[in-house]
Amino acid sequence: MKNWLKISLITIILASIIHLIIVICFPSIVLRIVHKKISERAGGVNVVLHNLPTTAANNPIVNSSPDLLYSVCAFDLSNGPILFRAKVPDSYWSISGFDAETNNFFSVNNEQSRSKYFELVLVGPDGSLKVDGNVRMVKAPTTRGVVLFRTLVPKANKIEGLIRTQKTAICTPLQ
Amino acid sequence: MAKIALTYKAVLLIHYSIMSHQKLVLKYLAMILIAVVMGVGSFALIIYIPPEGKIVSNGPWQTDLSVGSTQSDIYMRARIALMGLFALNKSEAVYFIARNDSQGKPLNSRCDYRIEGRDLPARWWSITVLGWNYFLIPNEDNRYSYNWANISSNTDKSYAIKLSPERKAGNWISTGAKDQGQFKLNLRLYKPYPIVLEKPGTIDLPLIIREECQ
Repeated sequence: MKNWLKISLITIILASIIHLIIVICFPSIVLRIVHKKISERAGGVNVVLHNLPTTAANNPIVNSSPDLLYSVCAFDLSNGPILFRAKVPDSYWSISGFDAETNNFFSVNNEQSRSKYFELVLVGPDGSLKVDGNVRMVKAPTTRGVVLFRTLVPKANKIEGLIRTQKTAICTPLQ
Repeated sequence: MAKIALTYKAVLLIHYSIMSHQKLVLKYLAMILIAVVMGVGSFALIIYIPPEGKIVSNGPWQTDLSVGSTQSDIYMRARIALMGLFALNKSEAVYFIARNDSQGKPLNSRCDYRIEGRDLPARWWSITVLGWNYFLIPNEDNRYSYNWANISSNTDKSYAIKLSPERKAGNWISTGAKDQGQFKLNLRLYKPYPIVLEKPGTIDLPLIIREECQ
C-alpha cells in the first residue's frame, strides 16, 4: 500500500513538472514554428510576406481578422538592426512586434505615424542606434520574433488600392 | 573496432539489467507514460477552459485585458499562442469572445441567431464568426464579419446581424452546415475608447438572441 502511495505521488509530481514545462515552453515553440513557416514562405528571414486577404481558404493564422490585410516579417537580429518601412494608408494601419514568447512588445498605428512613409529600426536586446527624427527605434527583447503589418479594409471596394499600399511594406537588414 | 566492442558490451549490459529487473523497468515505464499522459492531458484541458480571475464578463462576451502583454500569466500566454496568436495589447485592441448567447446557451449552428447592437466605443470595430477551432467557417460569399463601415445600420446607428446556416436578407453571416456544431464570435475593438479599459464589464455590447433551432 505504501509503495503504491509512493508511486502515485512520484507520478503526480512528474505529471505536474511535465505540465508546467509544456505551459511555459508552449508560446516559444509556437513562435519558433510560425517563424520558420513565415521565413520559408517569404524566402528567408528579414523578408516581408504579404498575405492575401483572409478567407476560410486562406487562413494561415488562427483567429485572423477578415477585415485586415496582413503582411508579416520573421525577423532575426543576430546580424544587426532591421529596417521596416511602409506607406501609411488613410484607414487604420498598424505595425506591431512580437518577441520569441509571443509577447506584443510594440505597436504603432497610422495616427501615431509621423509621416506618410513610416520607418522603424528594430535593434537587438543589447543594441542601440542613432536614427533620424522621423525614424523610430525599437529595442526587441529577443533576437528573433515576428513583426506584423495590419491594414484595415473598411469596405470591399477599397481593397485594390489598399493591397497596393500593403505591398509597399518592407523589412530589410539595415545597411 | 574497440569502440564497437565497447558499445556492444554496453548494450548487452543494459539488456541484461533490463531483463533481470523487468518488472521494475516496466513499472517505471508505466509511471512515466501515465505522468506524460496526465501532464499533456491537463495542459490540453486547461487551455480550452476559460480561466477565472482576470476574465471580465459582459453578458455573453468575455475578455482578458492582459492579452498580448507581459502581464499575462503563463496559462493566458499559452492560450493566446494557440487561439489568438499575435493579439495586440489593450491600448491597441480589445477582444471580446462569445461562446454563448445572451441566455447563456452555447452558440450552435443548429440554431439561428440575431445580434442586436449599437455603435461601439472604439475607433473601429468588427464582429467575426469563428468555428470551434477559431478558424473561419467556409461560405460561398466569403462573408465572415461585419465592421462599423460595411454594416447596414439604422439612422440611430443601431444594427442587427443574422447568423444562420441558410441565407437571410440584410446583414447575414453563414454559420456553415447545420452539423457544424458550436461556433464562437470575436468582437474586436481597435483603438478602444478609455471607457472600454475602465469598465469593460459594463459597456453596452451587442445582445446575441437565439431564434429558432432545428
